[in-house]
Amino acid sequence: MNTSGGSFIRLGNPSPEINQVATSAATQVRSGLKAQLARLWRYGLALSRSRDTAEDLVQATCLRALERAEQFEPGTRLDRWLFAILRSIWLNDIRSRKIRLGRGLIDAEEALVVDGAREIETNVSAAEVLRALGKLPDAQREAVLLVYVEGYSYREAADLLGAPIGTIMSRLAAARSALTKPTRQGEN
Amino acid sequence: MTDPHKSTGLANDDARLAAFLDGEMSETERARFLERLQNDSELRKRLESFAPSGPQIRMAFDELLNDAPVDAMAARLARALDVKARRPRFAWWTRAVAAAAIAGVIFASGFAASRWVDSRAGPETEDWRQTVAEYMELYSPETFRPTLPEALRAEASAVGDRLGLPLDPNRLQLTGLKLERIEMLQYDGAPLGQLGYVGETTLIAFCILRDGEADAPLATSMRGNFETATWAKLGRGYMVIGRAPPGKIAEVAGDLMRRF
Repeated sequence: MNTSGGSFIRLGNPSPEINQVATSAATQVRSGLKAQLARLWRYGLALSRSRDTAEDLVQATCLRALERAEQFEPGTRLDRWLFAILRSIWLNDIRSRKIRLGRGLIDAEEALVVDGAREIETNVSAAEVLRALGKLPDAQREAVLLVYVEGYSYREAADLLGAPIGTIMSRLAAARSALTKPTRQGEN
Repeated sequence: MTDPHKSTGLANDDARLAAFLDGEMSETERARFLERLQNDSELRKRLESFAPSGPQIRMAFDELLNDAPVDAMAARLARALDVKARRPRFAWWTRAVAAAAIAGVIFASGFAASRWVDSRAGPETEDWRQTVAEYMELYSPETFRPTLPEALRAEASAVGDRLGLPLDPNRLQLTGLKLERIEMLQYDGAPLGQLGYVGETTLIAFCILRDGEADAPLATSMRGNFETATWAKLGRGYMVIGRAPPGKIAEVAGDLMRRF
């Protein structure tokens, strides 16, 4: 998967086959983006813990995906390709920019909670779990989202995050352990 | 499948429990673990407390999907798709075009307009500026990573030729900022030069479009998250845009306007 760096597109006379593949890839990207918006936003929120940043991340991801649509391999998963793009933008552009400009990354430790007005209607335990997830270290929260929510295997998560499988396991175990504690205390 | 938790030397029981619950153990590992579970009541208790967290996490994150501003995001996507449909041949230009100047290869630039116009004057001339502002969101100092001095001189000369403006280094120098990059882009068939300046807390792009637009005085405004200063003179539109302390953009623009 190629998501880093700029691509060099020469105007010339590419073969018809190459054109066909590129067109098919571009069509799949164009037609598939909309269905991914909500999940991309959720990933952006898990990474940034800011709703506005998450929305900006999704827009930047869409723009970049459209520009690089010909790099998408038809037959592979569009959502995984987009997640990798979003992550790359977060790490390389937005996160580093915020740090450089001295702006806080996190507005509040509970930025992961559902919207205030809706919270009353929300399942209480879901709200509690979200609060606990919001307090997890970033790397744990990201691993948890990818594996438990987005269905990444340990190997797939390790590949995306560029970390050993053992690290993914530790992060997931630590997150599960953190979520387990309140229940156990409650039992005492 | 191998036993990844074994091969990494990770013998932590919590990690094993997670791998067990997540179906990430090999058959051998799983059989061994089940055997241990039968004889270890503490481990069984821990497993019971661990088990609900997976489904709980999924459920909690699914709640968040309801909060996603899907309509707003879909509208922004639709605008981007609309632009792409009208202008099908784009390249991701951020770095590509700079290389084009060196390689002498003609590239299609990836300039997407939020509103398509074939303008020569009037409010439509704002479109290319808006487009630059949208792309500016994606820039980081790495976007304007340093170019070798000789390459920078070559680019200045090539871009100057296309714009019909001599771009010698003295004319481009700005106090407290380093000119790191010069790129030749195009917008609606018109040549667009972009000069990237980087300072300690500043990232500024100075853009020149040779589009025949009518003369206009210096004006400042906000586009998206960016302060911009624009003017037009002798058939060329100019814009200074970037992330900079308040007032810096106008100061830089005033400085450049005297030279262009």
